[in-house]
Parts: sequence; C-alpha cells; structure tokens
Amino acid sequence: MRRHVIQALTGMLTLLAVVCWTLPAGAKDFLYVPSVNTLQIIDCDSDTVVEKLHYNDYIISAMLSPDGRKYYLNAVHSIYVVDTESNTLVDTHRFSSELNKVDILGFSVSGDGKQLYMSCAIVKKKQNIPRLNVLPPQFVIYDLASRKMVKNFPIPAAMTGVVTLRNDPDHVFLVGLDIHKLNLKTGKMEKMMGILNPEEGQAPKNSLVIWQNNSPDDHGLFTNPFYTPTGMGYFVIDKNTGTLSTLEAKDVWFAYSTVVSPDKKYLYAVMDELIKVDMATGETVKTIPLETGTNYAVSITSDGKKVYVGPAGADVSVYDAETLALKSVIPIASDGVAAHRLTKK
Amino acid sequence: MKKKRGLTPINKQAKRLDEQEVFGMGEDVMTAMPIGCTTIFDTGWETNPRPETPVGNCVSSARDFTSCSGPCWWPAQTPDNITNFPDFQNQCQAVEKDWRNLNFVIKK
Amino acid sequence: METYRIADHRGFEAGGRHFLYLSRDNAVFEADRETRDWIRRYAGDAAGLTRAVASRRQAPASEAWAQLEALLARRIILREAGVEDAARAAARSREVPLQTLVLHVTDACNLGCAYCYHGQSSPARVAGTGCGPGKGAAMSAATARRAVDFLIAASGTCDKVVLVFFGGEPLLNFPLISETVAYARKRAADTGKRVSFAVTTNGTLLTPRTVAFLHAQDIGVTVSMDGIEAVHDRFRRFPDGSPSYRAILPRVRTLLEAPRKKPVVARVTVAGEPEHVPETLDHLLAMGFSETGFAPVTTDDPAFQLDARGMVRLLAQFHLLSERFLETALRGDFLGFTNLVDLLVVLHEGEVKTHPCGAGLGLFSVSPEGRLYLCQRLTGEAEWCMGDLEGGLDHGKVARFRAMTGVERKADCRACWVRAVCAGGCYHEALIREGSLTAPNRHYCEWIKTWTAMGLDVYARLFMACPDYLDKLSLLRGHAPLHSRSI
Repeated sequence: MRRHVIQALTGMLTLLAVVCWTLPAGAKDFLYVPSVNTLQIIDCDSDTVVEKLHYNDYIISAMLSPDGRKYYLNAVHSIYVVDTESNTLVDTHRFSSELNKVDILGFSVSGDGKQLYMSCAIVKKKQNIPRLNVLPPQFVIYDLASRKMVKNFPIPAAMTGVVTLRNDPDHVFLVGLDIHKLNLKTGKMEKMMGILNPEEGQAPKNSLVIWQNNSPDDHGLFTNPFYTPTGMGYFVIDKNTGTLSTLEAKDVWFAYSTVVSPDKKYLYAVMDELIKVDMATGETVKTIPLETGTNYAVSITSDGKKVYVGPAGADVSVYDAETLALKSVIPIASDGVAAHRLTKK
Repeated sequence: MKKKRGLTPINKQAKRLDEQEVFGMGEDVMTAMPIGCTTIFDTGWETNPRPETPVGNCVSSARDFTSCSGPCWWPAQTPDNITNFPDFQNQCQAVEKDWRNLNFVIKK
Repeated sequence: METYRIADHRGFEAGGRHFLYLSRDNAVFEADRETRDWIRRYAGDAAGLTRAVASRRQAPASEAWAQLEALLARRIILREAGVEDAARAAARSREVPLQTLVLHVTDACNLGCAYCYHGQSSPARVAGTGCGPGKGAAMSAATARRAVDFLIAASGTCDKVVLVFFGGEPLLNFPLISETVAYARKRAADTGKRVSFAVTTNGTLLTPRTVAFLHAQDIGVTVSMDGIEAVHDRFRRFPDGSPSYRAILPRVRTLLEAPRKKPVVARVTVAGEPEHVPETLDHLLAMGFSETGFAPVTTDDPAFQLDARGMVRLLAQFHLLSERFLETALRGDFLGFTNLVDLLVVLHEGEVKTHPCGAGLGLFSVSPEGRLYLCQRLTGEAEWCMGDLEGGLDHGKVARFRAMTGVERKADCRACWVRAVCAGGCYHEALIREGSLTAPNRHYCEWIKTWTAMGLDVYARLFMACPDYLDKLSLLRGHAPLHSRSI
C-alpha cells in the first residue's frame, strides 16, 4: 500500500519536473470554463480538466478581474465570485428578489478590481396588482467590498457589452444596439458607432455582444463581429487607448465571438467554423468547419500556439493556431457559454 | 424628468402633445416587455444560409440550445428559465445527450 | 391677422403645485408659477394674447418666444382656425370596426328587482313583461352561432373581439353559453382572432359546475349585487317577494373561492341611502371581489331615483372612498373602487371621447331573435334596432346615429370642461331621464364635473407620490404603455 503511494508520488513529481522544464519563466496557462452547474479548469499543457467546482446555476457570461485573482460568473440574477488561487467559490452577490427581478445582461470588472459595472434589466412585481412593471434599463456601479450600489444611470435597452478601459477609469464602452462611451461620473453617453441607428447614409447593422474572450494580461483588444445587409465586419475596441475601429470581413458569414492572437496579427472567430483572419487586411486566411458543431467562445494561449474553441455543447476543442489542425477534444460536464485563458505566474 | 419651459406633461395625452418625445424612457414610463439581449432586428441565426451542417441552430439537440433560453433569445422554443423553470438546466445539462429529459412539462 | 386664445382649461392645485387640465385634449400638465400666472392673465383676453404673441414673435431667438412656442406646441395657446376641428372630424369619420357583441341570451330573469330598467324606456313594456321566470324569449344556439360569425366577419382588421353574455339572467341559458364559447373559440382560432368573454349575472344560478366552467374558460364575471344584506334585499328579490341575498351568498362564495385568472367584479346599483356605499364596498371586497363599481339606478320612478340631495350625498361617499383609495395606493396596495379606477385611467390615457361610450361604434347587442341593437340596455327597443344578423348592420342608420350623438352636437357640452371624459353620458339614461337619447344627461352635469375634479385631485396627488401606480392602473385596464411601439 505504502509503496504504491510512493510510486504514485514519484510519478507525479517526475511529471511536474517535465512540465516545469518545458515552460518559459514559470508561467502556466489554464482555461477556465464555466458551464451548467460546473466550473472546470483545464490545464493547457496536458489539455485535461484538472479541477472542478460546483454550483447550481446557469452562467451566461464571465470575466476575470484585471489582476486575474478573481473570476466573476454571471448567473443573470447573481454574480458568483471564484478565487483563482484556491479555485473555490468565495462569494455570491445576489441582485434579484421575489419582487424585484434584476437581469444582468452584461457586466465588467473595474480597472482597480473593486467595482462591477452592470447593464441591468429590472422588472418589479407588486403583490396586489397582477402585472409586471418593467423599469428603464439601468447601468449600475456596484461596490464589491461594501456590497452596495454606488451609482446608477438609465441607459438604452439591450446593452449586453460593458467594456472596461485600462487607462481611463472614468469611461466604459457600452455595446448593444449601438456603441457608446459612457462617462461613469456623469452618466453622459457619447455615441461612438451606430449599429441599429447608423450614421447618416449608412445601412443599419446588427451585432450580438455576449462574449469578451479577453485575458487580463493580453493586448487589450476586444473584438466582436457585426453584420451589415451585405456582409460582416469586426469592430475593435482598444482597451488601452479607448479607441474604436472596424475591420471589414471577407468570405465570412457568421461568427459568434472572436479573440486576437498575442502578437495582434490574427483574429480567430468561431461559430460553426474556426476562422483565421489577418488583422491587417481583414482577409480570411483559413476556415475549417468545427468537428463538434456550433461553439460560442474562443481563447488563445499566451504563446499564441493553441486555440481553444468552445464550449457550447459539453466539450472544448483544441486547435493548432498556425494550421488550424484539430489537436484534441476535451469533454466537460455540461453545456456552457464562456471560457477564459488565465496565465498563472 | 425633463421639464420644458415651465410645463411638465403628466398624463399620456400631455406626453403625446409634448412634441419632443425621445426614444427611450423617462422614469415614469414603462416599457411594454422585459428586454433581453436580442437586438431589434435579427439576422436570423436560425436560418443559417450555408449548405453544410449545422444548417439551422436553436432547435433542441443543437448545441446552443441552452443559451437560447436565458433572458434573451428564443424563449418560445426553450424552457422559460426566467419565471417558470429556473432550474431546467438540472435536467438537461448537456443537450446533445440529455435532450430527451426535456419532455413535456405540465405547470402545477 | 391670426388671432390666438388660451385653450379651454381648468387650473387646479394639489400639494402646493399647479396643474393644468386641457378640456379639449384631456391632457394634464404641471405648470410652474410663472406659466400659470401667464395663462391666467390671458385666459379671457384673446386680444391681449394676440398682441403678446405678435410682439414676442419679433424676437424669435428670445427665451420669451421659446416659452410661447412651447405653449403653442402643447395646444395651450390655440390659433383661431379650423385646423384642429378638421383633424378631429377626420379622426371621427374613421371606420370603426365591430369589437364587442353583447348577446342577450335570454329575456327571462329569475329575480324581480323592483328598480330594474328592463322595459322602462318603452311604455308598452313597463308592465314588467321582461321579468320573472319563464317569461321572455331565449336565444337559440343557431342564432348565437350566427352572432359569433357576424362578430368575426364585422371585426375587420381588429384582431381582438369580445363576446358578452347578458340578459335577463344569462345563466338561465347556460347550455347556450357553453356551446357558444366553444364555437367562438373555434371560429377565432380559424380566423386568427383572439376572443375573450364576459358575463353579467345576478349570482343566483352559480353552481360548482358553472363556476368551474366560467373559470376554466377565462370568462370575466360581473355579479350584480347590492352588498350588505339589508340593502341588497330591499330591491333585489325573487318574483314571489322573498329576499335573494342569502340565496346568492354561498353561490358567490363558490365563485370567489375558486382559483381564477380573470378578476371577478361586483356591480352595485345605488338606489337611496348612499351612506351605505363605503360599507358595501368593504363588504364586497372582503368577500373576495377584485373590484366593486357603483351606479345610481336608472329609472323614471322617483321612488327609486336618487334626488339631487341624494346625488350630493353619494358624491360625499365617493370622496371618502377616493381618499381611502389614495391612502391605500400610497401604501402600494390596491382598493378595488371601480368608479375611481376607471376615472383615473380615463384621465391617464387622455383619450378624447367623441361619443359617451362604445355603443353604436364598436359595440352592439343582439336580441334573442337575432336583431342588432345599440347596446345591452336598449335591446328590444324598435327605434334603436340597427339591423339583424341576417342582413347585417343598417350602415346608413348607424352613420346617422353616430353623427347625431357626437359630443359636438350637444350644445350644453360645447363649453363644458369635462366633455372629453363624459361626452354627454349614457344614452339609455338620457332616454329615460331627459326624454331623448341624443340629449346630454343634464340631471347629472354638476355631479360629473365635481366627480371629475375629485378625480383630477387624486390623479395629481398620486402622480406626485407614485407615478408608476397610474401606469399600472392603465395596464390593469388593458391599455398599452405609451412607448410600447418604439421598442
């Protein structure tokens, strides 16, 4: 019995030694994948699930704190907080009650990690009147330590994307029917790009903004597809400079979400295909159909060599970033929407 | 609420007469329905134009079924997990293998 | 030169703030002090106003002109031109589709309420021919089906239709009701319409079976009851003279205790002793009715009529209940006082009435024989027969009726500040009390004005404390929010 244990330990130590030896500067990539009732943590070296954490909920979106120490899971009515060092659920912020239904359509963590910025749809019930009262959509600044709402502003409907800027604590981008820059002090909004309400002479566009596949230590480019009556494009928000630009897509029809490679040369888009796009020209370099079918999220390792596609169904596929060759399919516990690469030092 | 030139519209008729109605809402105006993440006009993910599979999405057994419920997408085709079946994910954790568990539901 | 005048309005104060009610538009504004004073100054002085407009117009960039423009845009200052009248006439001549059909499923009634209006408007029918068990015709299933077909065909582009079962006592012909509901649902489904149902009953024939049917079919139920036993039994008796309260009570309980989706409301006829009104409301709400509404009896018999003093006393009771409604609302609760809820919703919605009610516009009634009448109260009155199910509506007669009853034809109403919400009042009441269906109900003009002023006061106070509540009341009555179309 004891011998077995020692053998097992020796084996593990050997494995660890091999792993450490192959990693530069001691940094190590993990993929955090929240799905129905389970958060799985995938080791990006072995491409296996190394840890699981359970809750009883459906997670629509998630975001890592700027220092990478916390992972916030949006269960629509509540936000769960996961400590990424211990990989345990450390807190729950509940926003809904029986009479006040608050739906968090989109959210983001402030630059200092102390606050949550949430785009909320609020429906109130009254006990004696059998009707629901739908309040105007609100942007809510929530202080995590005091668990209190600090400020709120009315915002247009359907703002599903809240994008925090890295060098501008006074503004965020709000993305939904249009793209606005919101002043967090005054609540004033400046329209940056029309989607539903286009600029003079342009056709209306469409966009579905659910995924922010960014990692805390990445280049800070948030990209997302949009659609015009004739084709597709990507908008790019540079979180470092607070600027917005667009890129015309070619030979692409649909994509749910995108991620930009660490060297900013390529953009990877997924839905039913994995699409590799040249960031300089917008040209599609290569497209392959996804073996597993539809997928929502896409992530890339810090060395830019592997692309993780998924989940949507209960798996995550690993592709070679260069050739788009399928390397493996990692089964997970359940269906999910989000995935984020976290590099631990 | 915006006050205009000494006059504040109070009832709906006054608001109609208030010519500068803006899109969006004041505090005292309700919207007609809860608003989720759907954009107003829809490219129609469900009518995926490509010839190869998957041709249509958001039918049960498609992998994005679960998320098409939620606060936003096609609640008619998926269990209403907002009001009536908040925990439906428990009986259908991975739709490709659990879709048979969805079954018919009779609300008590 | 164009001349200007301040629109007909009523200024009032609530909670120390100034409000302005525009009579022509049924619009409510809050005004600041300066604006109120300005409106007061020029209210009777068209010449002065016209000069003021002309002089301010010289400086179109000035704040003074901007203020004036705001008043013009909101129709508080009117140009003396026919523009609005033309617009209103155009709105009125719009085709009104049929939306509600009231089926007189039987003329017979198993009660013999002393104050019943049934048959009063025509001297030939005064002798109580419509009342009592076994008397009066019942509608056949074939006629009811034809009525449903007619409603669906005549509703045109209107996709929501309403079928009301009325009588006599409609539950005397219960098999017809259940058959007709099934038929109407099928026809609605075939034609893509949505049909809803309502029934008004005296409660004496409710059984567990009928109750289960009414609830299962989502039929809105109105029970005619006068409330506390002593008051109820004064006039609401069986033909043999025996009181009906105790007979109804257990049956109504069955109705109110069953789980249901549609609210069940009570309708009280006030005949004498208005001091019982608050007690009656409490009694009926405690029984489980969602709401209770009060209507002074319509009768030409002075024995039952509320005289002028009685009406004033009724108003005092309504005032007490309105204050209670407000207190309850501010607590976030709801007091089911139908009269006030209806008035607040009319004020909140701001619809301008061209006619007092939907009769002859979107609503008609059908007699057991299949003839079409203006409304349930006028069913059987030959003069107000507007066609039949075979040949459809007599469109010429309907058009003449609409033209003849428009509020602008009623001289007394033209200068009245509540015309947008009253438009002259109930045709049937006018026929009985004023001798002509086209006459305004002069006997309650002052009453309606005072009641509307009370309503505006409650409206403004509710607005200041809890504006959401008014939107909820509107929703309760099925009105869509103002901005629903822009979403």
